[in-house]
Amino acid sequence: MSPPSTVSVTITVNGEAQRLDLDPRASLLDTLRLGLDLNGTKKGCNQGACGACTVLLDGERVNACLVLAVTCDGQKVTTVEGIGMPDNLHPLQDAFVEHDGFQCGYCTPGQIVSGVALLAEAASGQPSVVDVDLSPDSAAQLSDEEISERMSGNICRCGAYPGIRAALRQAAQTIQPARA
Amino acid sequence: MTTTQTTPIIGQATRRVTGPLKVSGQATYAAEFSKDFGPELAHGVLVTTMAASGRISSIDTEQAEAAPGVVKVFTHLNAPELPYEEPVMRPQVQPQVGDPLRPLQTDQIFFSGQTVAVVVAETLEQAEHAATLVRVTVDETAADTDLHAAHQRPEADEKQDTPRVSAPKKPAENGKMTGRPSDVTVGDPDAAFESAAHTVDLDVEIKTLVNHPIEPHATIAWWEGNTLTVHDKTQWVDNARHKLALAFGIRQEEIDLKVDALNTVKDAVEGVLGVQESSVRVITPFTGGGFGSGLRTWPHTFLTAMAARELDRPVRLVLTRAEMFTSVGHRPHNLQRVRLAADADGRLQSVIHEGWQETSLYEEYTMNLLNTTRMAYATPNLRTTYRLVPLNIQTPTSMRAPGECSGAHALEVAMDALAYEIGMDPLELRRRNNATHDVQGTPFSSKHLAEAYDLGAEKIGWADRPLAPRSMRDGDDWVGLGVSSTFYPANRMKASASARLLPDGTAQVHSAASDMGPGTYVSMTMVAADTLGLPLDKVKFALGDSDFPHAPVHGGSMTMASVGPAVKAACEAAIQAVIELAVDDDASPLAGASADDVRLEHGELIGPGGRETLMAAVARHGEPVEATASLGPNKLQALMPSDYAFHSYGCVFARVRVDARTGEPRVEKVVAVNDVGKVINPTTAASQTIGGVVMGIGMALMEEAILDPNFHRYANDTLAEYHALTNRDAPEIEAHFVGEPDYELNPLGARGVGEIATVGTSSAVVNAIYHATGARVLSLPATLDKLL
Amino acid sequence: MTPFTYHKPASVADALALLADRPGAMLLGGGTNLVDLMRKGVETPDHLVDVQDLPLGEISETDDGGLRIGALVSNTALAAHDRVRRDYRMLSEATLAGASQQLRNRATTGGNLLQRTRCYYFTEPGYPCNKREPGSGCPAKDGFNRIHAILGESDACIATHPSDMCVAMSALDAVVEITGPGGDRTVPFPDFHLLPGDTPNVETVLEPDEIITAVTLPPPSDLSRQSVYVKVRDRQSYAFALVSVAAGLALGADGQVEDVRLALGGVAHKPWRAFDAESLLRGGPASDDAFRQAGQAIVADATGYGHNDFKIPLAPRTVAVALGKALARAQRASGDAR
Repeated sequence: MSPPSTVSVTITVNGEAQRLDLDPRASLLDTLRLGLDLNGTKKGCNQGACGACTVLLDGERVNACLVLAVTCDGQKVTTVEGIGMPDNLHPLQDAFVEHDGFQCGYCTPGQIVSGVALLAEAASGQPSVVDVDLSPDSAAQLSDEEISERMSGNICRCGAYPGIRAALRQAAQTIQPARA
Repeated sequence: MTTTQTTPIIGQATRRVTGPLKVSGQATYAAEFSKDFGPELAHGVLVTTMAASGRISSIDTEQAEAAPGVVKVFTHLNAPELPYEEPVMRPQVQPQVGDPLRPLQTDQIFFSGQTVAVVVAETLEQAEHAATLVRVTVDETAADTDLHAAHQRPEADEKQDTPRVSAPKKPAENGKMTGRPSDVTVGDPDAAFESAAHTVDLDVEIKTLVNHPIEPHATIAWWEGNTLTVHDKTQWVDNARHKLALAFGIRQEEIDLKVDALNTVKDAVEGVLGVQESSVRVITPFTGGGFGSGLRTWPHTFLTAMAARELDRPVRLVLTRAEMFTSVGHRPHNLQRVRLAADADGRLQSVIHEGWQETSLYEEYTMNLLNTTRMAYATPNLRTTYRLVPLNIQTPTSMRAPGECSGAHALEVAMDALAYEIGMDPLELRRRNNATHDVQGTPFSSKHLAEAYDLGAEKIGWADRPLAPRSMRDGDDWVGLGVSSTFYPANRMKASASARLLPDGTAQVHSAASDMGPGTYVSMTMVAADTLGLPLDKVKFALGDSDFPHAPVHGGSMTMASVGPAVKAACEAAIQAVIELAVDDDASPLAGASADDVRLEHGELIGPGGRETLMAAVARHGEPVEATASLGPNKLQALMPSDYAFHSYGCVFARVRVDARTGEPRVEKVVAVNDVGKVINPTTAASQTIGGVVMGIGMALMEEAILDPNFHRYANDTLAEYHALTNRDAPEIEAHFVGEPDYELNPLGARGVGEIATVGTSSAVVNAIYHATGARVLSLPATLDKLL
Repeated sequence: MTPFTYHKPASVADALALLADRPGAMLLGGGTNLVDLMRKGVETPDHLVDVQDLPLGEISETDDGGLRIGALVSNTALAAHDRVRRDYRMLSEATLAGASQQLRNRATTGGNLLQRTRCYYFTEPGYPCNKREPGSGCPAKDGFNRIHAILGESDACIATHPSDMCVAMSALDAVVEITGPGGDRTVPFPDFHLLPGDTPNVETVLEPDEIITAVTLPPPSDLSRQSVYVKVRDRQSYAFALVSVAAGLALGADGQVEDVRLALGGVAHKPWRAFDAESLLRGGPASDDAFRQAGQAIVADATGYGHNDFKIPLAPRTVAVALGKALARAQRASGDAR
């Protein structure tokens, strides 16, 4: 059997163009963690069932474990490192600390990236199953039910959900995200 | 000018010191030390078996070895034989009877999902692929995973060669309440049951639950000569170090001294083997959950270290989520029968609680299934009977409040049923039977359960609840309120810490403790800062390194109660050392005073003739001042002679809705009130409580690992099909605390929060479902099909 | 994952050529299902044809006022589309009821049609499975079958189709547009997926060398505008349906059922369009009794396998819930009109 040939791609990660020679089998998640040493994006289930690996791909949140990195040629990836670092936290990250929206911290980067995307989605009027009629105007006043439904793709086994909702509530009122 | 802290820190709601690292993904978990290695790091992937019983008849690795990038395929045919010595006295986290699974040291298959090979390759993708090319043939024998059938078999006798139902072979000494006695009888429970005015007799089932921390278990291991260093997802770096040393036959004085401190094996000191220069170090600064899965050191950790040694390069191995079902333990499937009897006034006359719990064929995992029953309520007559049923499964392990969670569930559901049998408010029944001592007559150290009942009832609006089930309807939903008491033994074990005061005005405090989420980092920082009179940001607490002073296992809710006092004592010892220096130093305002006459207040040393700040004295000294301290019982507090029985207590109230048409259950609100002694950090204590409630709701409504009856394998072995709560399922949760510091247990008065937080939620929820619908769900989880 | 070669054609013609030239090739859309199955060894394509650059990502209006949804339109874009929300409400609700936002952002319309069952025995290659290895057996029948089919199943397979979106599309009488070496063709949605029969490995009428290019929705109606999707599951979000129902009602001037659409998910190997129950309801009263009877008719010949027995009573109850909601919407709409 011949070794799988690598494929060259360029992926912009947190604003920096990365030229990568990839095994086509490599997930975006493993490429970030093992190829680029960006360990902020976590591997929890490796099958799209926990959300720990959530990143923004061309601005939309996705499970990096189910994305083959070769398919991202020319695309932009934002990981939690691109959202905010300890000395320069994003307001949502601050809100997570303030409301203790985590315990072990392992699912947290995925929650943060997901939350950042949620705010943009809501601002652009994207509906959830709670209310398909949601209008952009009501996005800033997301109900707890809306927040929890929109965050349900991120499992927190420590059960920090109420704190996560509180952080999102606060951020939804204080952040004016760019319309997606 | 040095900074001091003039207001108390302990007891103040305080943000996690690890917060900024965690929210930015910069906290480094075990697998993520991959960044410290270049391409030298090899990747290991396990090969597991489908077959659940038998012997490996052949294992074909040819194709796998020929696959691109493969470095080596280890099987039982080519793996080195490792010493795998066992300590003379095993740590509590490990079953006391049987031998741990040692994959690749045998051809025997005990359960489906057992590791039979390790593939190591240059890249993860290559290793994953090659693992699929290993062909394992098992000469299968009949497997048994049917607890319902097996628990009815006759009990074991010595001559049987097939495993049978049995009492634990090594029950805890002296039958103490929080040990693990198999059977306890007080009075004449059968006669009292027969003659009582009101009785209930329930069969309760709790299916297999899996810990499932979101961080999968992972190990990176490398050797430098005879020195092994490991990053391992664990809740106990010291034990991981100890077990690795024993596995590889590395014994040296330093480790054995530490073993001595553990007091698990003094004998080992005499049996010094191996190479003096060799050592083992385990470094795990962050643990992404565990809930018990990280108590033991599991086979994959040894296999990774073995592969690293054989290949003479660092190896990284991360379990897949499917492997997380069969590699790191689980909460065991159990069946319970509870018989309660009460007089006409609702006073308990008899409690008979029997439990049958699965274990593996190679180890006897025991848990405190029935201990709660022996202390929860006042009763003159009681019997508990605990039986183990060996099946073709992996050895179970502790999952958040192991035993207590399952046992208290059954007891509390039975209490609810008894209340309805009597026609009494379920909360009133509990109040009426509130105990002041356990069934063996030992008084409780400090108990404020009655206050918890009052506060919880007020917060949930209990008084407005009609007693009759199926009497609250809102639109399409039946609505119900339920209550459960909660109990968990308070424990403590010897712990050590070091405190190092630096001339720059900061302090470093170390202990080989862990933080899987409860906030050990922040709470220990608080204890140290409070003791030293320093602001939080002047104290740096570090944990998770086996080179640090010894800490007991990060489990059993005893980290705060054990490590906290050690941190406090180490800081006090360091303060004392500074005082000794100051009184001998002419430049100090304290010069010439007797050290005994100097005290520390708000960071200031105050003597008869003058005062100066602690850190000013350290700064003038110009060198770090360091002290260590070690304190606490050598064994679990619960096993030590004592005038008191130490427990935490509380209650959970739940309001649920059940869709009258589709049966869908939903928890709308939970109020948890606990008496856990002193609360060090209200922020993280509340979070622990909320997290425990969330896991308890999962246990009540949806969590269940289902064994296929023919293949004896967990059918739903993914996180998509094994349902943990989502954010949408998590209700509003209030966490309250009552009580006072329990100084009988330790100098901080703290009893720990983590486990009691999980106890009682499942029973409160199913009791609320009964109140809503009239359906008494006896087999968890209470999925909608049971409510149609 | 088994090694594969990676291809990223820019046109449908190039993609078709790749499929034609390379037996063992598979199309990769959002990857939310295929990547997982490849990782588990359930799918082992020799060649992966990444279709993301194909110009199939638009939603456009058809000449008759319907909508043409390109095969690469994401679940998110589909559900958020103004006209889908307004004119085909059940489709927006169904799509949003599926998976998580992260998955919906990646998952494509075409991929949703082709997603594989969640049957535990299919997704773990260690088990026998007639769908994965024809003739090897079906362990689900006497295994753990809580999520399995009660309608239209066969001796060979009792798996269910996991999609929510497809249930609504079936109810809406959508049409699947397909292109292949022989040219373009269309298939009515209810005919696209197959019952298992003796060949559960063949799940749709799509040939291996064909590509789905779009799904077309007929012009909207009061029924589609007032339609509803109800999903019953073990947790309130991020879980597959135990039973789901897509329903739409149009009321006559007398308040009777003028027209109705009804399809069920979670009960069969395909989205289960309940044509007979629709006939039963049409022209009759829009009452809870009638809705329950229609639901009962659907499960009259249903078979349980033990753990999934509960679906037999649950399905008609869910039908009644969904029709009740559709009725309320229809009544509100007619009230508004007055």
